[in-house]
Amino acid sequence: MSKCSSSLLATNVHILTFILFAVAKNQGCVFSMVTQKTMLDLEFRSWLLNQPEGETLLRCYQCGRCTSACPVAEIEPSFNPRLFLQKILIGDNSIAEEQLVWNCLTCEQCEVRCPEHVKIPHILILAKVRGLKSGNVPLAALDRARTILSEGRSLPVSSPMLKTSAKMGRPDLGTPAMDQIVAMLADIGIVGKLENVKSVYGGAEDE
Amino acid sequence: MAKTAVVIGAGLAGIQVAQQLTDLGIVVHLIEKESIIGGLSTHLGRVFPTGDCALCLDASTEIFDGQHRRCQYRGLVTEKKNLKLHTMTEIKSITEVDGNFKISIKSQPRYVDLDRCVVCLECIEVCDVKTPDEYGIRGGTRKSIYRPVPQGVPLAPLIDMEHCTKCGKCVEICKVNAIDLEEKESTKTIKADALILATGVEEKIPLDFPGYEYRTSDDIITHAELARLLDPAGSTNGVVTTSSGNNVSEVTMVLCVGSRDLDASEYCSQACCTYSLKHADMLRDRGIDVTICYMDLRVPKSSEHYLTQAREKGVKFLRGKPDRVVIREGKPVTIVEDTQSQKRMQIESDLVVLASPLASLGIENDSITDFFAEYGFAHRVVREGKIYACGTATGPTDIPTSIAEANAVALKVYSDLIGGV
Amino acid sequence: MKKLILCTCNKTLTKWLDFARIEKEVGSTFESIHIHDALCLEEGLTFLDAEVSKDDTVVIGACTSQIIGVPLAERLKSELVSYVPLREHVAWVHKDDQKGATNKALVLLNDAAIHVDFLEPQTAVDIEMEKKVLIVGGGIAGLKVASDLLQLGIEVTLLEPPEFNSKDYLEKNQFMADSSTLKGVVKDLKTTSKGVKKVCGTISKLSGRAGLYSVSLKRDNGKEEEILVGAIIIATNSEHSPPSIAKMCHYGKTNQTLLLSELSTLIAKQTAKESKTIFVTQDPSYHDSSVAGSYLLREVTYAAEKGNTVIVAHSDIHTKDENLYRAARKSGVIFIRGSLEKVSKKKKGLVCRLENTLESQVREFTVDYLVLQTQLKPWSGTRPLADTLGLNLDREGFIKTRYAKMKPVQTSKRGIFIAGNAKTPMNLNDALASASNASLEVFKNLIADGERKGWIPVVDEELCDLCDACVEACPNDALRHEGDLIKHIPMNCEFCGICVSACPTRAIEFQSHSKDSWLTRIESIATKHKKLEGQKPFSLVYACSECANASIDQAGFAGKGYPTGSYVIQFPCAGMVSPIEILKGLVVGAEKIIVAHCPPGGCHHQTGDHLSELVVKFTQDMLKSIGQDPSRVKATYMIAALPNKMQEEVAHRG
Repeated sequence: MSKCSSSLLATNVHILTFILFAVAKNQGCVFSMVTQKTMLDLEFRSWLLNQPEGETLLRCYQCGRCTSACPVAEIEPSFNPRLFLQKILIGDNSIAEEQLVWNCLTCEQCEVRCPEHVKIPHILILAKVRGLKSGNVPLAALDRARTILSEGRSLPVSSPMLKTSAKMGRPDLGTPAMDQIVAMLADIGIVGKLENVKSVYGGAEDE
Repeated sequence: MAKTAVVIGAGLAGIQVAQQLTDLGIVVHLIEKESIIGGLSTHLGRVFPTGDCALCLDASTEIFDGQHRRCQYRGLVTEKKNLKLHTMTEIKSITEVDGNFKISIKSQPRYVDLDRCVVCLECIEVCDVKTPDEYGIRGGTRKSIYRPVPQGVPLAPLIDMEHCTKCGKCVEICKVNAIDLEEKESTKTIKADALILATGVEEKIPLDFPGYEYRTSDDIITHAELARLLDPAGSTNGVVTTSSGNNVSEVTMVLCVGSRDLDASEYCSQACCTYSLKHADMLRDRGIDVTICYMDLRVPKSSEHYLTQAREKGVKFLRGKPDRVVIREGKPVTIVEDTQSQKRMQIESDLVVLASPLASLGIENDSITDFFAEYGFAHRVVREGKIYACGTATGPTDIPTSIAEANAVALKVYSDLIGGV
Repeated sequence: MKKLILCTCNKTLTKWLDFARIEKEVGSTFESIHIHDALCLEEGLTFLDAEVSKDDTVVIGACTSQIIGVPLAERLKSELVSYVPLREHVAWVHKDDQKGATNKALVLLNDAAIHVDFLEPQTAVDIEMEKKVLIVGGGIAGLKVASDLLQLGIEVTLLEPPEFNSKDYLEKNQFMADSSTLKGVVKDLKTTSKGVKKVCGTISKLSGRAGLYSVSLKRDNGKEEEILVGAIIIATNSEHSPPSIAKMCHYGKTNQTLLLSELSTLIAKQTAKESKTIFVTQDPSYHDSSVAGSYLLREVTYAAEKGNTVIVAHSDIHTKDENLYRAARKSGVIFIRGSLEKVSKKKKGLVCRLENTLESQVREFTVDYLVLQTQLKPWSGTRPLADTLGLNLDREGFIKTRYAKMKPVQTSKRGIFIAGNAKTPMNLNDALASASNASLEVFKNLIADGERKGWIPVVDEELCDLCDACVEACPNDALRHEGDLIKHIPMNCEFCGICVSACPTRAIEFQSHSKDSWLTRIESIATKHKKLEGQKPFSLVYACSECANASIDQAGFAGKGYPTGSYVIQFPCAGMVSPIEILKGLVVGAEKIIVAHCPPGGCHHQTGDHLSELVVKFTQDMLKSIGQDPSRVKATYMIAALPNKMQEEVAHRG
């Protein structure tokens, strides 16, 4: 994947994740830490470092300010941004294999407080991308992807919503670049996956 | 003809280099912007690595046997023939003429004649004006004619004209006619062969570091303030109290506030770890619980015993940089991840002490700011044969290193200006 | 004539002291009494000039001698002066008790009147100096000292112990700075120190005194030689030593385990394609200095930049240069906070096991090389050298400085200095500063042309039974047992009087402070006190003239008042106080005796704080054994930063 499309994808995953946390909570997902001994496998780490802004990871000196700043960590003790960084740093790719990282709200509180300007939310997004690539993705996220695939957006927009938006004087949402989005999702194998997985809602959301 | 050197800053390094040079026959003008010498040390009370007084000098050979150190008040810096001390004085400009410096200085009036005052302190007694004490904390006050700290040198008081009502009581009581309320600021030009920057550092007031809401509560303080609380000669008589006057039983210390931080001071301030340990030690002796939030404890070998002592005395160490300190029900709560147990903690305490970075003071003066380099610190030799720097002006460090550097610079200046025997 | 000169300090002391009464009651003790209002001003000094003649003995009751003593002494024609700090020790601390304060002033003035009778002129000391210097160790600091001193026109001999191998010298010093800086500095130093006389050998014996040391050298070629030098500078190096975990890491058993000092050689030999996995570990039992920390960071960065995978097991990363740490992380070094638990040799490499404390998880890494952070220990010849020269060592075996805070290059012995790594591992910048600092001290010592005076101990040959107690006790090697005599070496002497308290036969008399003088003074204080105050209890504070005296002065400045009936007797050093003075105090009726000394490890004469504690402990045991209350005697430190100390100590009497 080219660096450019990865960055674009990251932006979309950003939208994806935005609501995911709440969804996952509602579903009563069990978050647990997978502990395992790993041999040194730096493939994931090298991949991440080569992504745009991925190399900011190296600046981390594990002060833990991100975790103490994180609003998710405040309610979900197992969600620990610093620990994610630590694992990636030492070549443990488990965070890409588990779904805990999907809890990130990308609120960027961690990045604001990071003394070394590590792009933490971005790195977590890259970890999600990695999870997506290897097929490890929460079902709820797949539903979101389904919506994106059909609507071009993570949330379907109804005509009353558009009207309200216009009344408020907000700019027109425009038409999503469907071709590009579909190509990207196909690139990381989401399209194929969607065909094999049933929606947790039994179909696209329909509010 | 005797050579002349100007030393900017009368902190420990500045005094040291000035004394050494005068011992070697060089005339020294020691320029200090505060009313007393000592710089940072006047705030500290007790210092590492020896745990004794901050206001201590390495006495030179002119007056004393060189093996001895002396308190600043008995070091007689003001009595040395070749050492001209200019307090309350700042550099206005520096020009170079024929390889020599012409340094113009401006002195603020002290209103008390240093040569006349016998330090009977009667003037302070009769003064009616009370204002908050810069060296005090928890509501400490001073008069408008005052001595900043008991040991302050010169010993003579000074008048804070901003608060003085010019009632004239002090003038009247002073039998030796040392007080002149109409004294004006004065300027002077000094010719010098060499310039030594000993401008030092100050503990930054931690206002610019989001999260550590220094100003929101008087229970979030800096180490300089804690040192004032711990000082038996301070306004609380050495009792550590909260802003509401209660005795403190739990203290949380936060290290690297704004240090090792790309948004604030990128460098490590070196001394904070050790003075935090020193203070933790003193607090434990008073039966107060201490938690230190650190990332890496950087304690020099010479002060290693503070670390051992702190562990023995039950200081709690927590590795993690707190995100923020918030006030809950009047008490400061520190929110931090204990990275070694991966647990997010909320530590409630009576007092939070922030280790704010030590920032260079020299860069604040426009006429010398160009001599400083990365992060506002200077190289030991700024310009070969002309401009030198020593002490914390070259980067934050501890007293022994500072003193060694001041001595080294003194030798360098001497061999550059005079040469051999 | 015995004269009393009082100062009212701008007429303010009259508020707290009844000068009329003082004048009346001490009238008979002195032949003349003058009361001046500002003795420290020019008018006062002119008055003193005119009033005091060479043969007078003078008691000055004014502010503390610490402030006016030196300027006043310049104008006083007589040397026989005793100061009574009426302002700081009396008026300012007894503000609410005019009668008591005046009584105390009377007691102290009376005591000073007796004190001046015992005073003798100070003895001038021979300060002849040999203007030559011996430097031990030709490393960076040694060369720097040589270059500094040569530039100042001082003759220098550089002694290199035979173990000093100059071949791998730069390599061994790599820990001090990055190699290009280091090479540049060494090149400069070699040029500037050209012409220095180099000798290869060791010191076998030291005699003489500070400023005139005779050093016996044992040359490499077997020849013995004796040279005279004014000062000696020890500039020996630190050495890399394997860490405590070396055995566990199979160091020496496999060539896969190496020391950090060997890493750069390994990397330099590497070709571009041979990327290796290198595991670097700190010694978990060893507190790292910033020098060692910076060294580690530089080395691992270099290894990582060459394309190796580098893992560092560390505790606290200690460096003075945060950017070194940044560079190491940027180069891709993997940092793991934890200590190595187990290393097993497997076919595929060494398997290193540790708990990563930042994720509470045990990790195992299979690596090609295991690199051990070395401990920087003192040069192996330090101890024998220190023994020969009579120097103290610190806990780690480096040469101990005289006083950690302010005397970075002075050793326990006058005229011997240390530079660079002889003190502790240092980075290049600090080592150069330390070397120049030593050069400065030596230079100042050697060009000193002023006079050196002091009251010295005099040994009574009749009483002395040559037990050597004083020789052992003297912290400055100023007393030596030579033949049938205890010989005093004035140039080494610091006039502290510790020898006096050490002597079991009381054979040593200290000029101006004879044993008799203390006993007489203690007795007179008690008598006078009882006369003026009747049954009111009193306590005696035997204060050293440095820190303790300053603390009591500061009690005055800081307004820390305490009850009257507390009398301070100034000793040159608390180490001079012997059980006899303490017991005498109790015998004459003092309720409490406090021996106040400098802070632990901070005695100006090195051992007085410790010795006075011992003396008091001994006295307490003695009191206990005869059924007396030992708590009446106490040793404590007093410093100016604790002006409340005096208040605390004398407040709870009774």
